[in-house]
Amino acid sequence: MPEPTAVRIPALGVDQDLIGLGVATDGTAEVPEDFSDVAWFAPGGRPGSRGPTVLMGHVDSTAGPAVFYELRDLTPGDTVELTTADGSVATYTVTGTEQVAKDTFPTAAVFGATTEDVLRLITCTGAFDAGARSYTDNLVVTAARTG
Amino acid sequence: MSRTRTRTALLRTAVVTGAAGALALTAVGPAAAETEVAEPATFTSAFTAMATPDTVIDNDGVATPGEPGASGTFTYRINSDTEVICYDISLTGVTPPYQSPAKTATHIHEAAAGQAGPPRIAFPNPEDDGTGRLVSSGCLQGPFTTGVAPDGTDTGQGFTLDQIEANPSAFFTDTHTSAYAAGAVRGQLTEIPVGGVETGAGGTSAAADQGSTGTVVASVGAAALLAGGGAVALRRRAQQQ
Repeated sequence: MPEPTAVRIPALGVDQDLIGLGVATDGTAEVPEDFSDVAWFAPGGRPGSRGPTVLMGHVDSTAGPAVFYELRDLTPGDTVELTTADGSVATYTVTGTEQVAKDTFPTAAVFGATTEDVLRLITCTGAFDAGARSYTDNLVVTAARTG
Repeated sequence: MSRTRTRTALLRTAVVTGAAGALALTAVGPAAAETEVAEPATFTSAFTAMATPDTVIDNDGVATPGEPGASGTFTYRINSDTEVICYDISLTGVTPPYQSPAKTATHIHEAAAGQAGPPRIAFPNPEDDGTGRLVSSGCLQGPFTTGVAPDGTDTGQGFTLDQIEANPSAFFTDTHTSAYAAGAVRGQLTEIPVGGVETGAGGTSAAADQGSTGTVVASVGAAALLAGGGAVALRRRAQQQ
C-alpha cells in the first residue's frame, strides 16, 4: 500500500505534507522538530491496510499555537483526508476524541494493530508542567475510513 | 542456519509426540517460571502484531493457512530492565479449544517471517470477555518457560526480553487451536512507541504562567479521571468496529 504523503482537515483549515517518523532511542515516539509539521508514524499502519495510521502534531510551540492547536475542536462527523503516494485520497470520518494521561498512556488502544483501516490524530492537552516542559495529557482523535 | 534447522526439527518431534510427550518434556524443565505481576510504572519498549491466518507456517516451514476469516491483535509492552512483559491480546473469529504441546497455546516464537521457530514465551490463552471476543491481558515477569523442551532444555531458557528489543522482526506471535495446530493466526512483531507523545511546548498554556500549585494539582486529578474513562472508551470503540 502506498504511504500517506499529506493530510487535509477542512474543518480546521489544516493542509500539510507529512513527514515519516518512527521510534526514538528511548522508546518514545519521535515528534516533529518543526511546530508546523505533521508526522506520520511510518512503521505503523497506512491507508488501505491494517490500522492504525497515526499522525502526530504539536498543539503549541513556546511562542503560540502550532499545527494541531485546534485538534480539540474536531467533532464526530468531521472529515480528514489523507493523500497517498499514488495520488489517491483516503477519506476518514471522526468517530470520537479521548483525553489520556501520558503516565498511563493506553499504548495498545492507540498504537496497537487494528483489523480496521482507522486513523488516529495525536497532540498534547491537559495541564502544562513548566518544570518538565511537558503537557500531562495527550488528545487522541480517532477516525474511521469512509471513502 | 543449521542451528535453526536443528531446533525446528526437534520442535516438530515435540509437536508430533503430542500431549503425552509434552508432559514428559515438561517434567525435565526448570522449576523457575514466569509469574503474573502488576503493571510496571514505565516501559522500555512496545510491540504490536496484526495476526492473520495467511502467514501461518508449520514446523516444517511450509505455509499452512490458519482459521479462515480469523484475526488477532497482539500488543506487548516491555520493561527489559525488570524482565516484565505486559500483553493485550484480542482474537476475532478464532475457535477454541486451544491446543499446543507448550503449557499454553498463545506464544511469542523466535523466527523471521515465513519461517518456523521455537516458542520463547507462553501467555494465558484469550477467553470470551462476554461479548464473543476472546481477550487476554496482564503482565508476566521472567525468567520464562514454555513447557517445550525438545532437547531437554526449555525453549524459554536463556531467552531475555532485550532480545526482542534488539531485533523485533525476528519474533512472531500466534495462537494454536486443535483445528489449526500450526496456528490459527500469526503476525510478526513491529515496534511502536511507549508512553505519551511530546507534542507541545506550552506556549498557549495558561498554567505555564500561573504557577499556582493548587490549580495544577486540581487539573492533574481531573486529567487522571478522564484518562481512565478515555482508555476504556477507546477499547469499547475498537470492539464495536
